[in-house]
Amino acid sequence: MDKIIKIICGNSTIKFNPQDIGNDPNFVFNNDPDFETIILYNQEGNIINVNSWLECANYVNGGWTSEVYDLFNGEQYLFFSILFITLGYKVLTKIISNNSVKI
Amino acid sequence: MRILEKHKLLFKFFLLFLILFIPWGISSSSPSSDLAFIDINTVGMFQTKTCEYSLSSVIFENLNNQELTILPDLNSKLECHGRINGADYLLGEVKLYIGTNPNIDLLVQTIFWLVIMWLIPKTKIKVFKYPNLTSLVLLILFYIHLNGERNYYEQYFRDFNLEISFDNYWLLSILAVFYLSTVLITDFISTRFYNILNFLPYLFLISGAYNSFNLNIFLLIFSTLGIYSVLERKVNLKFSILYLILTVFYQFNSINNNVFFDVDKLKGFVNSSQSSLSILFWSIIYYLITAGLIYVVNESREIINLELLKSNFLISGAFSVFFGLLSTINSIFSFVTYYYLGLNKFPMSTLTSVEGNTWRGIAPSAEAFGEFYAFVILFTIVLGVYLKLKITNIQIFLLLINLFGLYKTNNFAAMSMLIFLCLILLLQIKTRSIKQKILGIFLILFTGITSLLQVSNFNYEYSSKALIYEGLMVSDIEESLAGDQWGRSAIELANFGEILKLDNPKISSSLLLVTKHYTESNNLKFLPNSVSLISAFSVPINRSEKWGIFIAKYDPGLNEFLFGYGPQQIAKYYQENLTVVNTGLVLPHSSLLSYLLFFGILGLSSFFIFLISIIYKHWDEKVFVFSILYIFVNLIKSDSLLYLPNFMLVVLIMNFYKFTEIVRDYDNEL
Repeated sequence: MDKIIKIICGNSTIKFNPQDIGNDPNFVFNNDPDFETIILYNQEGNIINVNSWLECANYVNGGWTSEVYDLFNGEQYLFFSILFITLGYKVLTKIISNNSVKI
Repeated sequence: MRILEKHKLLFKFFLLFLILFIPWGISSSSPSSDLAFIDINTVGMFQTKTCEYSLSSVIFENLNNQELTILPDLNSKLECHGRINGADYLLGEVKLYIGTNPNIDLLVQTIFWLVIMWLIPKTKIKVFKYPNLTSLVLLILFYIHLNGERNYYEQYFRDFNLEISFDNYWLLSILAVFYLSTVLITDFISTRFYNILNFLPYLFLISGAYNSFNLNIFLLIFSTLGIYSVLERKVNLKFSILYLILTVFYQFNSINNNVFFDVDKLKGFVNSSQSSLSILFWSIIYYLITAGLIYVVNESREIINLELLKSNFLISGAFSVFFGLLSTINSIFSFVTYYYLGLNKFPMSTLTSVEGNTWRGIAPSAEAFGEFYAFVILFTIVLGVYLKLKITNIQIFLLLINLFGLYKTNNFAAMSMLIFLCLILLLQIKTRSIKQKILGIFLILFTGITSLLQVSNFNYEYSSKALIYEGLMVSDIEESLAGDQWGRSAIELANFGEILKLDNPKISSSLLLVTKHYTESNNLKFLPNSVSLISAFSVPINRSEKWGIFIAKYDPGLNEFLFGYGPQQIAKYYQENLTVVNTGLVLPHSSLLSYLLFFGILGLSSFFIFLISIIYKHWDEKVFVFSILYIFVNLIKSDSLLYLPNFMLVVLIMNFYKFTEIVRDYDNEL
């Protein structure tokens, strides 16, 4: 998760501990003027603007995401599909070549 | 499995059909039919609803839409591949951006081209040792390439991340796709190895450049063959050691500079950076593809089918003209042609010249393809004369299409050289006496040169200085020079000595050297100055301006002048010494100058010695001699060697004597 937060929200020296925020019902996120506003999305298609690194990290930790790091990780599916196809192709060609040798 | 064997061809066409349509046909919804025609009224919808509609959902409504230009959006997410990812309305034209994702491009384009290559008839199987090791080496080279040219890729790939970890699926998937490609390539070359040369002319039809990568499928195929040739020790050891030393030199001589050089129409065969890793990659790849092609030539020289090779040259030339014409019909054809033929650049959208650029059809350069068309015609005639290969009626028709291609590309040098060599050929056939032959050649040359000088209004006084004049005009030194009473500078007055008097003239080392040689050298009586001679030569062939710019930009140190910047390295030349001409891709306009950049004066001289020695040694092989003379005269004034198909053609021609020797031996035996 730390890596996803880093990709979406950028680097920060702030230590993010979700429990600190969750345990404090009066917690308010202060705007950071040096932080460039980031737009986050959730799976229902809702949009939120976050104005500080901590706010961003908190929402990302809760499952919100940016366009940069997509909800749908197509590359993961592609990787496993290609792995499967490559192995299948290798096995198939091996079988075919073995059969032709026998003939 | 038997059914598959029985209907193999049908299966291949079915697969091609699938690859053609599936990537552009997947979407969750389609626009209603009244909104699917894209113009100023509907463009807004495509701007807001990005990644929703597939290209195929709007194809039929826009077949006759002349306002539409379809372009790839290289920075697309995987799930948006093939979908409309943006639109713009500009000056009465709608630009529609179709999402193309690098991972999908690599997969789809590789499979499409390999399926086409599977149409090549199988030959006896060539068993290669260590196929897995070869794939691994290529994978490592690919990773080096991505690392070395990260500035190129970071521009286009939104998730570019080369960190090797198990959760970096972007890199893992791209490496997996690449590995699968190498496996398929190995399979292809082992089953069709002895037919590769016969079908090599199709490189001019399927260029094979990847949409998102600075790579080309033929680079991968011939690199694979190159690795096999090394593993089987079928390479020239002395040359390889020398090249290895040069590669080490290029590494030490390079300044690790992560600049970005826009490769544009040279995509897939030129380095886009100056980083050490990119220089290493291109040095290795250049060696491997050359070694790979020579390996195929040597291994299949005894079974080459020159009749088939000739037919394939003719068909490839004719189809490249056909697709060039087809692409002018509408933007959809143009996009499909660009993507599936792997073009370096979008095809021309009109049949006429645009902004002074000659019609080039699907080619990246009109000059390079003009050279190709003329070569096809020459090759057909020479084979007919010397090897008695008859020209059929269909081949005459194909020849006419190639002639049309040559006419449209308007390559005057290629046309002149074709006519000149055909006249020489006629002389060879019709005359027996050597005296008559020499007189005939002299007359042809004299008539040709006199006509050229007449057409270009040749003036030696101006022409002998034109090169330096053009070079100085684009150099940034005007302010340092005092003008005369009419405000004309020393350059305009051709007082080049004034420039040499400046304390620190801001001109390139090569321009300084040339100017010094022109101004200060003691000329021999009755012999023109060598700079004047080259300059005078450059004017009638319309190269004084381009070569002048080259001299103004070319600023090597001693080491670089002697050994070059390394193969396919243009970035340093292009960006180091800025001149007034810094926009656009201004190439040297001479392959010899390009190779001076790559391998320095020593490399170029060695190459010339080698070339002269093989021509001298194989003078009797007329097909080889005519082809090599034709191509090398053209290379003096064209950039063709910067394009992969033309480079391969030149390497093939340099090896022609190996085939014709065997054909002659067969004839003698009979």
